[in-house]
Amino acid sequence: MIGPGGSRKKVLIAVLWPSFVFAGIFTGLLFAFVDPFVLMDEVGLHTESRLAGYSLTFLSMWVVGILVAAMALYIMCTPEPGNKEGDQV
Amino acid sequence: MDSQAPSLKQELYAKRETIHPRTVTGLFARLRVTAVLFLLGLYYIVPWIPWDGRQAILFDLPARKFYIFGLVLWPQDFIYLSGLLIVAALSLFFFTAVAGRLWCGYACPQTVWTEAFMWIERKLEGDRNQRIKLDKGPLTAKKIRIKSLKHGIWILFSLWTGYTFVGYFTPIIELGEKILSFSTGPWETFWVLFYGFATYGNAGWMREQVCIYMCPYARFQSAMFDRNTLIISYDSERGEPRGHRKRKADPKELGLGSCVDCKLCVQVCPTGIDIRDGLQYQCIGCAACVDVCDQVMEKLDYPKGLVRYTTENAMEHGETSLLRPRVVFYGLLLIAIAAGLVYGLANRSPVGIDVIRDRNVLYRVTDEGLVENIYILKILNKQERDHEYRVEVSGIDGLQLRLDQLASVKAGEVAELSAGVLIDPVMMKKTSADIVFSVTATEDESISSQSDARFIKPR
Repeated sequence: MIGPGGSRKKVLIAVLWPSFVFAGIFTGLLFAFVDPFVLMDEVGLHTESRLAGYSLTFLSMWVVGILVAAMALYIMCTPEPGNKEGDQV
Repeated sequence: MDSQAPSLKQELYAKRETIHPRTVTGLFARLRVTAVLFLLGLYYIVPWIPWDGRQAILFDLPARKFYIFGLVLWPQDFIYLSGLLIVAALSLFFFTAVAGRLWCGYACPQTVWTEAFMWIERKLEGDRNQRIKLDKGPLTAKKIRIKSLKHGIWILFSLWTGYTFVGYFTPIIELGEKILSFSTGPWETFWVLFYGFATYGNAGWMREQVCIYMCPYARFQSAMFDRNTLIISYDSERGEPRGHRKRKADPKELGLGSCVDCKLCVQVCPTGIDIRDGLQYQCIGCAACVDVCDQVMEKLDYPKGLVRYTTENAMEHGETSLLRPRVVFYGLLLIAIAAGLVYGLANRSPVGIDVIRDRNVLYRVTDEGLVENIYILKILNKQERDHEYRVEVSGIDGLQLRLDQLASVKAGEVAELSAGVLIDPVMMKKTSADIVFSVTATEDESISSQSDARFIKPR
């Protein structure tokens, strides 16, 4: 897939980077109010350290963010219907 | 945007060519190196400072406690941390409005680590021209040796950076011992490697691309700018028409301005722009072009400052005013929030109480005809020593408190106790009323806190 700007690296940055920032802020906010042990118990993962709770949450939120950003980019890159000449977005 | 229509393909971004900034010396280079050394020193030394038998600054995530010298912050003190972040953001706005991209040029971690990485690169590969030659040249044994040495040192430096980073969140000495004995936990290992990799990638490979493509501040900082903001600018009025000339030649006779078109300002630029094209968002305000142009002007016996720190107003022969509504507004807001933060921290109660009503029963009536409500009290001892607390309840005359255990809480822990509050229903006019629980340390009356709750009786 080639995104706006036409560079593969730019697409990677646009997908990976904002989702990383989102995951960081989300994780920070969440664990200001919730103990990772409690959260991990709730989802049925009994972790030995809180670090695992933070990390797993961060990484799963990163994946969620990546999906959102990728979808946003994908929608941006879809050409208008009937425009076969492929007007660039 | 498919490959069958190459002519239609829009290239909004040219393929990146590696930028080899030329070494620069001078006033602003010295300032930047000083800032870089100070900030790097701070980063690598701070986690090793001891305090009261522990790390002075430790954001102890495994224990959910933040230590900042004598201060211990709990998840309940989240407000102070967000206050601190707001103060940091406002300071950035304030300094941007006054002095432009000071942050980018002198203090941003991206700049600081890139400077350090480029210093290593320069020591091993030489200055700009030698680096360009080396990169273009064939893959010889010497090139392989130099390149692998450079990346080896970069990787070691990055790993140490990653180790230090994790050392802010988990005790650094123990972490070091664990690393030496290969017994770090999987997540500690992951984060050391992750942060190390990010340092290596960002400071070694990405460099100015982080500022141009990734940094949100670079995009919105212009919103804080006005005509009185300090910017780095080329004085085109004085410089143009640019052109080469002999050292002794009189530019007036040749019909030339002060710019000798030596392109040194382009060569020293870490983001590879030409400052003579005007203010650009890629400019991180590092002032390398100011330093190098001043040296050229000095050699030619021209006045310095063809490229200089100035303001838009000054460039147009106007007055630069420092006190503008924008600056005053940011400044006052900053002072107000910082003062609030300091006041809040200074008056922070060393004990916290949370009251939760029992969810199962609204109330019950005892054999003596009293109405009882049950509450769960969570008492948080924020201090580093054990305490015993006196619990009291008030709000309605004739309230009685029944506790099932003593309210003693260990240092830095939370105790949960069940509390029954009883009252003779004739003492209450309405069916519900607010009551207040208060906790006070038995040996120190000044340590106390309170929390509201609702008391309910049958109709």
